[in-house]
Amino acid sequence: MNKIVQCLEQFRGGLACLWLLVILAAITLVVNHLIISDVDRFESNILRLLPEEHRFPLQEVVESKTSETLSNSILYLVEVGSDEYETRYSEFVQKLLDRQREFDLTVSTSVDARKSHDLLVQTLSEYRYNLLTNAQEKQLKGIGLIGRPQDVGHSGSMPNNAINGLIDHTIQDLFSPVPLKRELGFNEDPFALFSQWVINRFASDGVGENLALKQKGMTYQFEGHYYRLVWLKFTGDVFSGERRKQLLAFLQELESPLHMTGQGLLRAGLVFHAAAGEAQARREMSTIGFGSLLAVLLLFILTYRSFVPLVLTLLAISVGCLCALAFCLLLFERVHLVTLAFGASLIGVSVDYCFHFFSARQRYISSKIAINRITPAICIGLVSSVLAYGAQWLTPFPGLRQMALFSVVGLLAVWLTVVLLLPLVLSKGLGQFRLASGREDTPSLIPTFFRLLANRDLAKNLMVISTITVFCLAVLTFKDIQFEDDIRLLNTSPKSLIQQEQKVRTITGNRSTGQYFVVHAEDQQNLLSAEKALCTALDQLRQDEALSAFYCISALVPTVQEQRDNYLLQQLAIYGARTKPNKNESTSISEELNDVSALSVLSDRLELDASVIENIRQTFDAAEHTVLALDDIAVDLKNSAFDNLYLGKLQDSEHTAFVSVVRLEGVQSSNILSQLPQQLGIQQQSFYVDKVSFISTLLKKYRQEMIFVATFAYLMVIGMLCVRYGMNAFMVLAPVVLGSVSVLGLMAILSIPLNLFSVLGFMLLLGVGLDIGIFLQESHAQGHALQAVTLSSITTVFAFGLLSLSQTPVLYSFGIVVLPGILITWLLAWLLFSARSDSHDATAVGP
Amino acid sequence: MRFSLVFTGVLKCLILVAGVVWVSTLYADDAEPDQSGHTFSGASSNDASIQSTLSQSAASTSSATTTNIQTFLKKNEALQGRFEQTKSLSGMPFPLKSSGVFRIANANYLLWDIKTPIQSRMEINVEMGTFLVDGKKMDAAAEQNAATNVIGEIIVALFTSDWETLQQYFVLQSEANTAPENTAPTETGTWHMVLTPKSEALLQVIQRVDIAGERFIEKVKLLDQQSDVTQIEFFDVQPIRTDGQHPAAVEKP
Repeated sequence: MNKIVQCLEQFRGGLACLWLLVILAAITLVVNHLIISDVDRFESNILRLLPEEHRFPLQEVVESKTSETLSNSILYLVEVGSDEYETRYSEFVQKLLDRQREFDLTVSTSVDARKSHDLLVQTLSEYRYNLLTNAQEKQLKGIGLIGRPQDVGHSGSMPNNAINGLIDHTIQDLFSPVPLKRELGFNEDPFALFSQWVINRFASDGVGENLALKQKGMTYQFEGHYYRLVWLKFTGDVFSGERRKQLLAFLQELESPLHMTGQGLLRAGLVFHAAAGEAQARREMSTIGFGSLLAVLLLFILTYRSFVPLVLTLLAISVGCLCALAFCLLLFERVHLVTLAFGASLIGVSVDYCFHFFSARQRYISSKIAINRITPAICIGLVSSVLAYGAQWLTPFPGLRQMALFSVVGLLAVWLTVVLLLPLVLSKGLGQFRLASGREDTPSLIPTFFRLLANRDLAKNLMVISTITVFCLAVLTFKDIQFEDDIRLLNTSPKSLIQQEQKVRTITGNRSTGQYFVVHAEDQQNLLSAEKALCTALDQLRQDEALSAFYCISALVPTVQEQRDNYLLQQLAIYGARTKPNKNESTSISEELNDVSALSVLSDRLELDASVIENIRQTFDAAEHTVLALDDIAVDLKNSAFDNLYLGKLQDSEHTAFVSVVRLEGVQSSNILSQLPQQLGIQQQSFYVDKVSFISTLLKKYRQEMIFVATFAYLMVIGMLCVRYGMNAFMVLAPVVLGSVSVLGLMAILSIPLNLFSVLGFMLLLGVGLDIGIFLQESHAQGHALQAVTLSSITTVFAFGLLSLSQTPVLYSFGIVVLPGILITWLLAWLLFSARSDSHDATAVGP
Repeated sequence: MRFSLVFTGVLKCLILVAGVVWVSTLYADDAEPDQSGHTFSGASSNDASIQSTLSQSAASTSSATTTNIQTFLKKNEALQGRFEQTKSLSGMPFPLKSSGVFRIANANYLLWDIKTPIQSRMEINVEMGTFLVDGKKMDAAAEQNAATNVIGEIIVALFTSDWETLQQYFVLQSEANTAPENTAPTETGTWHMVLTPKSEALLQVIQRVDIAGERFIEKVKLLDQQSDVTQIEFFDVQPIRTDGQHPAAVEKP
């Protein structure tokens, strides 16, 4: 250790120059990557936190497609029901339409949804002969089988039940006084097969749901209130930007007259959640953040009575973050924002080095002596923290690996800055600052406080007793520790906003729960047939009530083969197959033979003209070669429940595929569904996505991995400390170990569950706690070291511990661990070391 | 200071993560969607907003009609009679004519018995929400169509001239004074009403209804969205006593 000190002393100038060069290089790199180059190097996709082998190819592409459509829309439910409300609604829509262009909005109302539904149905009607529901197919097959010419030969004019069923039903409808919704006229769809198909396919598409038949216009009815839907889509980033701010301000202005009475207006949209999250974070930043900043500033100035340490500390930390970022950019293609956030907080440990230096400087006046005295301590501090945080590199999770690299490089950079640059800066020309105020005749406020504290035996005893009580209680309740990896941890929205969102979804019948299947194939036909297999199974599951609804594009577009089969089936059963005239047989005979179709029977019953029937047949024959393709209806799908299901041809780094999504609603059990592709033998073409459980599982995996690796790393650190300090290692470890155990116990007592973010809090606690032990041990608990660790503890409590006051779950979990943890650790360290120095003093004075 | 760095970092991260979480978290409490809230039509006439609409539409209707027309049947009374129906369907070269007998009880029951040219018997029971054709329920596809029950209710209300029910669904306009044939002094009791649906949803099925009658209903003309026209004429309409029995069970006189 002394060698390092000597080395550093000898070559400090040269090394400092080198280090400055490295910093410059890092600055250039970061500036180049972040400011000059246009490529976005930051990653926010949570999927990227998964180990590579756990990712599905294409999932990310699908993910971004689906979340984009979700995130960039706003749903408004405007209350109507009286003329006054009605006027407000029209004003609301009109104002939106007026400024539609300015904000790049697409405004649609439920009337528009109905219109596009009608357009879609109209397009589909051109392909009506190719479309049959399962029930229709079964019914027609019944007719077709018996109705085949050779069978007729045997059965003669025997009544055909299947045919009679269809015809009776058709005739009943034709003569019924009740108006039935028919999509097409009699000559285009005599048996209303297409009308039935439309009802079957669109029954649960939301257009008809909750619609109040009594109100004017398209209206949703809910708990005695009537609402009309307005749907906005916008472009651009939901999460930031001036445009979003303007949009929100504009919307707020629009909303205000509607809010005045009762329910008035309900809204849903990610943009509101993002804004609420940001507002909350800003609010907390200005209260908690400002408070703690002020406290830390005061602390610095009261202790050192100069701005220089503050500026230099800030500089050192900035250098740390900068170098860490530069290295991450060098080694990783994209840097995840999670890495930045938590990596930066782990670098916080390095503020200890600065405090240690300044306190020693205050004590020894000379920067040179100060740095030489503390180098061993901050060396060991660095090694232990680097070991602990660096161990995360061993995990397969990219998020943790990036975090490991970031914190290790950051710590090292701060350390180098403290060891190499600070002594030079402070010795050259900056000495005139009143930094050397540590003499006995000019006692600063904080050290005086410590001296006072150290002499109060009563206070000391009380603290010992209370600490031991907490510890005992903690150990007793250890088994009650709970873990929680719920996704709601990540939610920052206020409850009222979430409730409103749920209400909107309930009213509009959109009960999507973030679960879906992705189907992919090399061409459209294979895609459709794979999806069809999946949907047939899903239909069975829906009847068993394993889910309430599903939407798939193959419900509207059958495969070419199916379309052909359906056409032939209708030809056989309904319209009558006509033998082509170029065949050798006599046409008239075969036409007659085939003419036992449902259409001719219906024509007989209704005594229709032959020409009418002939017309209907001709329309049917003319449609023989029409084939419905996915692209035919792509435009008409907008605003319908089938929108955004077919994603077209997608590409990622390795794959190109046609991709579609089967959206699920009201899923009861994810287990059954996730195994479905395997059971159907289409696991190569389809997989199940459950975002909720996915993110929860991800959080859990990260938490488990972190606990495991951190335990391993700290065992190594303990080993290292034992080698260096022998029996004294106990003194170093005791405070932080006891502190951590007490916090665990406290969490168990107060039944606060642990999650990934509390584990991160523990990591910080262990880093700072170990530093406390090491610094005190290395300096034999001298006044300047005690001052340094106290300052570091207090700043940590202010900076992170106060996050426990936050409303944001993630920040709260982090803070609730750090706050009591640091306090207890510091208290224990102070008690242990001052007790020892008392006994040292006693033995020293004794003889 | 380090925490301001961290704070902005965490803040950005949270907001980004919120995007992913948005949909999924919401559903978490969604397990108990309020089921009582959804009613498709319902006769929740004590509802304030309906009441207000009712009174408004009542005001816009000529007040003479509502006072002149007293078609509400007394308790324990049903109507029965003959009908002739002509239905012109788009794409059908000639209108479909049918005739038969009917029986109807105020606002909740209709028996429609077609005798010629086919035999078919339709029963609508609004109270029980059943819709039977030749003893069989309407097929599944039609039942999914949420409108079916409401249409049943409307048809029964039309044939019994149940203005209170009709006003919930339609804007009513009297044409009694404008129609020249109704100006004769002997026909002061006749009326002619035009009904247009209030809601877009109902417009999908019915575009306009004309009904006319004297003491009881005599003519109904129904235009649907495909501009199909259904015309029904009623003959020999007379009330019968049911004495608390179900109208279907009463013997024909």
